[in-house]
Amino acid sequence: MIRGEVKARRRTYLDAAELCEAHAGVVYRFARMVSVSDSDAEDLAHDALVKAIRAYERFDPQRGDAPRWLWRIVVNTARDRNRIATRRHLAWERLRDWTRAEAVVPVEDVAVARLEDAELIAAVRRLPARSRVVIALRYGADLDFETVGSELGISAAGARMAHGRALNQLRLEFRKGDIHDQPA
Amino acid sequence: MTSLPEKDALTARLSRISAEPPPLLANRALMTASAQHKKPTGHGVRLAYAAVLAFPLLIAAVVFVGVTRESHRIGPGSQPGGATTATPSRGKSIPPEDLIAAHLENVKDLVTRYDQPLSHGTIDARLIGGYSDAARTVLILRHGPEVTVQTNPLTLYDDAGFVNAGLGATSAPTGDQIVVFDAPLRPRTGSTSGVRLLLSTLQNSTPIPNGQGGSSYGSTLTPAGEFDFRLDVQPSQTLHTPAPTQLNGASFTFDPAALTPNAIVVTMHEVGASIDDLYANPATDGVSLRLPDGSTGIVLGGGGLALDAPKSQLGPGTARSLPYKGVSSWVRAGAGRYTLHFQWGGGRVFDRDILVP
Repeated sequence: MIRGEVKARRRTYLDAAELCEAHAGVVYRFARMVSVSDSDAEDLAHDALVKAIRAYERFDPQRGDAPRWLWRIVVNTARDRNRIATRRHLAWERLRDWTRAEAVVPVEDVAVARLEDAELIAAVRRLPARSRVVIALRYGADLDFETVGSELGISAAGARMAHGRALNQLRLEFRKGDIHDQPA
Repeated sequence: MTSLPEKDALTARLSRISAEPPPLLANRALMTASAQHKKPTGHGVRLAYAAVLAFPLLIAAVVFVGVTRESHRIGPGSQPGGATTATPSRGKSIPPEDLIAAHLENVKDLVTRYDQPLSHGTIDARLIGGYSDAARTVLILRHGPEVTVQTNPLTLYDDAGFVNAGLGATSAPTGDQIVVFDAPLRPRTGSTSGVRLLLSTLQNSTPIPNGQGGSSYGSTLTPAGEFDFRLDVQPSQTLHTPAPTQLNGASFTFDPAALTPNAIVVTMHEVGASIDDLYANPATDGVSLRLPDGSTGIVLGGGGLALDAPKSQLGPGTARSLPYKGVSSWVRAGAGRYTLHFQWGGGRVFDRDILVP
């Protein structure tokens, strides 16, 4: 188990340092998915954690749990850096997506299982902004659909649908890359 | 609308993406937050900050006791001062090519030489030289040919904490890496400061088998470490002033003539950075025009000044001479005094006053 994960699951923290340590890995994983490069992701994760540490004195546990508070900071930091599009832009993308037919592209489970993390993240980075953010919030930040929807300004059901579309697009990415041809 | 099962092969694989953070990410964030914030951020943060500092100091003390070390200047300079961090060891001579590349050939007698390996890690990288005066801090690193120092994750600390400085890097003909921070060190007392250069990652270009019968990576980012040492600050500035707004090998120049009726234009010139500096994205944190009260007037989002020269199009011989330039523009602000505010990853910020007539 990754260092700090136990505390992350417990969702109680003695101080900002403990919160930071518990979530640094997940924040970085999210940042990798929404950033153009790993060094950019590290900068984003670093700056989000710095903001959280500096704001921790103002955190009020009566108003919500620490992880959700932290993710609001992380997502806002990413949005400030244009790594996450604005809600208006996302709404426009959503409207555009409605006009497109969707097709589920089967991908061999074995090939998917063999993918390296870097290959998977590279494919996520090639997705349109909205789908990239949905995948990053769901699997990078490990948030439930209600929280994903909250961050995107849509309902949980809407987030679930956007998630389905994003997965389809990700499968298309793999199909373009012919992952089946990789050496066994 | 097709509803996919939550736990098919793809979602299961996505859920297994590693959440291992880069080494020292949390520590670096704590140190940056502590250094940036004059107001204490809480007992826990202070304790964590102390713990972060104490561990390397303890290691340094053990090394200091166990190994006889001396510090030497290249010429007849004085010895660096006391040892709250690891003392520079007897270094080998620094090649003249390095001194020329670092623009230190005229002050070579004031360059401190080291032979210090990275604090932890198996990477072949060493600190071999250092110089600081009222305008800059120059460090010379030596590493194996398969290793590339990335400037983005480089962070400098001195006696006063985080050093908020522009950063440039270039390779000497010998292959040694010259790293220049455009700020002096701040000794607590006297003229010698403890210094920590933090390298969160190094790029290792050795191909790595992918476990599927091939080698899918040309390079990987490798957890690195840090250099802890002491360095004298020269009392006066004997060299030309470095570009004050130099960021990761790129210098930003603001040209008043570039105020058009509709726009404010900022031009960025590449200034002899290494290949990886070109490949990096040096302005993702964005640039803003601030009002006199410090509030943000106009924001140019991240990426507006990004260098995007494909690495594959660059060769070692051409990287330093590329006439690379990036230009970005804002909608023109109303007449008045503003501050052009550059914010950089890792907490570095730069402000330049401008007048919009």
